[in-house]
Amino acid sequence: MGPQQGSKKQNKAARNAKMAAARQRVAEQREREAKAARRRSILIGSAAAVVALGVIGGLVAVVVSDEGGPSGGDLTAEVSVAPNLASPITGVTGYTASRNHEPNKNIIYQQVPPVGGQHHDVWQNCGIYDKSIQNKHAVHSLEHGAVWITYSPTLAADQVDKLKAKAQQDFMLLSPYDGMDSPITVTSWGFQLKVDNADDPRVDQFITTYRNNKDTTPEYGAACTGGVGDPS
Amino acid sequence: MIRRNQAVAMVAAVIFGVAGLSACSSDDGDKAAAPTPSAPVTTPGVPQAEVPNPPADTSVDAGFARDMKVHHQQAVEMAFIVRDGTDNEQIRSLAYDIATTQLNQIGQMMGWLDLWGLTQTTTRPAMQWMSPEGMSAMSGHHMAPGQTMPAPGPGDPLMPGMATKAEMDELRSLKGVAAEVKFLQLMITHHLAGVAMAQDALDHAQTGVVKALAKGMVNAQTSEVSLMQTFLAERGA
Repeated sequence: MGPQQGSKKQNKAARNAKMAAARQRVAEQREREAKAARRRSILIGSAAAVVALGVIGGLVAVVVSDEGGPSGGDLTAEVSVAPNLASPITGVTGYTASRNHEPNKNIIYQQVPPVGGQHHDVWQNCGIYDKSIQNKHAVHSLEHGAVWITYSPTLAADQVDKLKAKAQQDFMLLSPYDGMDSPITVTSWGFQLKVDNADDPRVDQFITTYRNNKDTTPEYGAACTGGVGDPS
Repeated sequence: MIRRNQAVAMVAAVIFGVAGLSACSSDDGDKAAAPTPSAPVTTPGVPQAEVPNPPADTSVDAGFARDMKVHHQQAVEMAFIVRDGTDNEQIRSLAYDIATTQLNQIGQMMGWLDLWGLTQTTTRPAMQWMSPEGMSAMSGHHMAPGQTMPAPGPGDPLMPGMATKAEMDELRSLKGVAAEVKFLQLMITHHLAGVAMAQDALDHAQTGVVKALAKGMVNAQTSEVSLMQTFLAERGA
């Protein structure tokens, strides 16, 4: 083994050591970069999760608050008496009404009960209810062609039974309603009749005329099932 | 990088998804309707016939159209319920077929009544248009357990073959094979009564369009009953 050879060996060993050190540095650098990338991924992932949770939380808050008090503020439904809309039935008042869907607003109706106007995007399932139902859902059912009979909570039981017999058909809503200025009110989209007695023949005339009417039902052909509420 | 892209895509999907939701719900109707006191007085909603010699208010044609709309509507509802209750593709396809077909037929019947100048509904009892032979043909095996003839009186919403509220609630509560079996049982009963009603309309209606649709219902629903009985047997029920 000559000095040249030894020198070559030394050189080779030194090169190898250098290369090993370099490989080590590269590996360490890669490890640092990988750690940093993992940290970034976790950060971004966490941020995305926070945003997603926030959005979902917001949606949940909207849905939950919808039952207690909507988050979108108050809105007075745009509804006006329409003297030019006549009825073949004596005592019926005609109205024009706005129709937008307002899922997040507390909608205030100036008619008692309402005859139309902005309403919730989900409708009330047609049928007989022994407790009051929410205006915003019932108005949507009117838009679909329902006739809504409302009665004072103090109405005599035999009168309520007569109304229930009338409401045992499709596209009929029946519910008690506080604060009306008549014992019984019959309402379709844009038309309303106030009566004192369930035997008043105008009740049946109103139901026959305005329930699912191609001229007065805004969403003629829409359903009165698949919404909210569990009628008896 | 893949994870970062996924994260970005996820955020974007959430944001755009929400934007899409709010766009859908923001405007879906007429603008505010202002009072128009100067407009001429009209009496909307009073039906007027648009064809010569339309069927009368108490005719078989009108009675069939009004009652079959209600009968069909429940079938549509049952079909939607079972599509939510099972992943079985055969049942979901059958339910899709029933829902789309019967909803279309409801629209046809509504259109007839409008052209005839008749109201869509009546406060008279259902099934009054059926012939005595038709009613007797519907009794017996066409009736669901607990249902009795004769026709429903005033205030009774259920026509022959229709499911009770308790049966509909039960169907809603079931999932998977249990939902499929209940759906098939209810729909077979529903169809058998529907076929009897349609057959009576085919025998006694005066209008060509009514007879044609009634004949189509008899054929299609009879065939579907056979299919549903096969499905029911396959499920050991």
